[in-house]
Amino acid sequence: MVTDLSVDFCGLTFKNPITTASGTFGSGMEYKEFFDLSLLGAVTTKGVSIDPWEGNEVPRVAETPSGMLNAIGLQNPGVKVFQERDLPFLEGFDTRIIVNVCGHSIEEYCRAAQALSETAVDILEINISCPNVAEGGLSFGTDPAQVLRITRAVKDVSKKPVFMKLSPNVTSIAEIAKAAEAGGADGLSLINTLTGMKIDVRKRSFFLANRTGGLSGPAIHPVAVRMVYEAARAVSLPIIGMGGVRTAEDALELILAGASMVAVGTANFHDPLAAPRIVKGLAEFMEEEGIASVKSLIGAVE
Amino acid sequence: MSTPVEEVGVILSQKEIANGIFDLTVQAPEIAKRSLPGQFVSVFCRDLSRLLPRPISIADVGAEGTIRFLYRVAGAGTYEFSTLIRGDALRMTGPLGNGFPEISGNAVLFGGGIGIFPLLYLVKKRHNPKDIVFLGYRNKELFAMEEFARCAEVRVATEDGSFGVRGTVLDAAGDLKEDFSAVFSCGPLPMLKAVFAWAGERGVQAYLSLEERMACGVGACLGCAVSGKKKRLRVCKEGPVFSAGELPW
Repeated sequence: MVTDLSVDFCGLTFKNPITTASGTFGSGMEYKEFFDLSLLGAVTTKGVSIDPWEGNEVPRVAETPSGMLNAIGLQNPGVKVFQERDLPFLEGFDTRIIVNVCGHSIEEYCRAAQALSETAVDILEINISCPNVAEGGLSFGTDPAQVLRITRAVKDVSKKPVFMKLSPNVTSIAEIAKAAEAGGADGLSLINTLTGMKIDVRKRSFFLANRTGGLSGPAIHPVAVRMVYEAARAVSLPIIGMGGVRTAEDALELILAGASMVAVGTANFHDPLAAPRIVKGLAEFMEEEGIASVKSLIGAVE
Repeated sequence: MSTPVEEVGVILSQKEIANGIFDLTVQAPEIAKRSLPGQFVSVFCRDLSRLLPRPISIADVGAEGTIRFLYRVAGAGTYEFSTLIRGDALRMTGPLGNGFPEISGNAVLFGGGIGIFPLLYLVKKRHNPKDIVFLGYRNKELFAMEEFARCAEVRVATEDGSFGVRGTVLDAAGDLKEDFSAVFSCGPLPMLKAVFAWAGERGVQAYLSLEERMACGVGACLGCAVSGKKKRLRVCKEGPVFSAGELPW
């Protein structure tokens, strides 16, 4: 049987429903040494801002049970370098390009989105959920009125489909998802990391220089499944689901919960070949189960 | 630099050479043939609750496609490694990082604590009897010292004064009279900063191997990006070996 892994949304076809989670994969240059990026449905880049960002001090990462905390602080070289160095690299592969966009203010988000609209990127993923920066990021992502406002502003200046990347650090993900939809979003990405903290008991100090960090990895996967399910029920937008995906089965859970595409994040650190292995695992699963198209599984949980 | 590969190695031998310090040899020909002194390998735990690789420096490479790791048990991950025996599998990616540059002429090397291990492969490869290696230990558990002594001149400092000079490797170096063309060092940060200053006063280029908390190990996540003189530097990618001029000390 020939299994069809392709998915469609926003008028775009993706050869399979697997992408990378922003911030775990750079722009793919480091992972190109391990596998052909054309094996992926899309590459999602690390957050890019209009101007370069320095990021936080080290230590920036800490391992936790079945997960990790990070507080990188969105270090990035800015749109100009991204456009000159990273985009031409990614255009060399037969895969879609999703660029994650960050900013300190609505104006900065808009300038970056506007500049990136003029490039070969396929989707803009607007990061309103980073827990590791003082301004912007999470402060935009936890209040429905703010989510609506920033979504509308970015949509107004963007010529590419706009996906709002949502935070799990909220009381009602459905309410936030509805606000993004009301603002005109073309899709949603969720979940970003859960805010956490680790303390070094011998030094009696914070493990991370930033004190708090974002929790990712298999530890948060059930939270992601629940939130993707709730968001999918609340809106009629395509969803890129993410959070602790390590195996094809984990990806299938998010697809059944309502995701049209699934991003592999922290698992890349555990296995640089995790993403293509999940693509292969999906194909094997469908063959075993006699499923002709992965599209039939999207939101199919009963 | 050659590109890193993923490889499942097979343990050939492991023994505890000092309290909590292990000497592990693993058959991993693909990584071994690409490895340079100063590079490291990402070693993965079997326990899936510990996701992140442990970056371990390459202490030596054997002609038969073997890699040797000398490491200290510092937590649950390295404890797991210490329980592995001959025939066990070990998943790794590597080699990673830049390694020490090849410099002709005599060199002075400073290693402190477990920081001496990446210097072992370097000293073996250089095999210059006129190189002077300063090794700093806590006490007279002088792990790997004899191996260094087979390839270069070794001088020892111990914190408790039980062997060699009491104090640090810099105390042992004092006002070194010999001529040398480069300094290589790995060890705790205060020691590296002292070596940085020591080499600077003598106008000699220093190459310092840094340690930092890492996640991906390949340069993608920016978890280990420290402040450099001009820009942030990824210890796993632009490093772990930096020339003194790159560092803002």
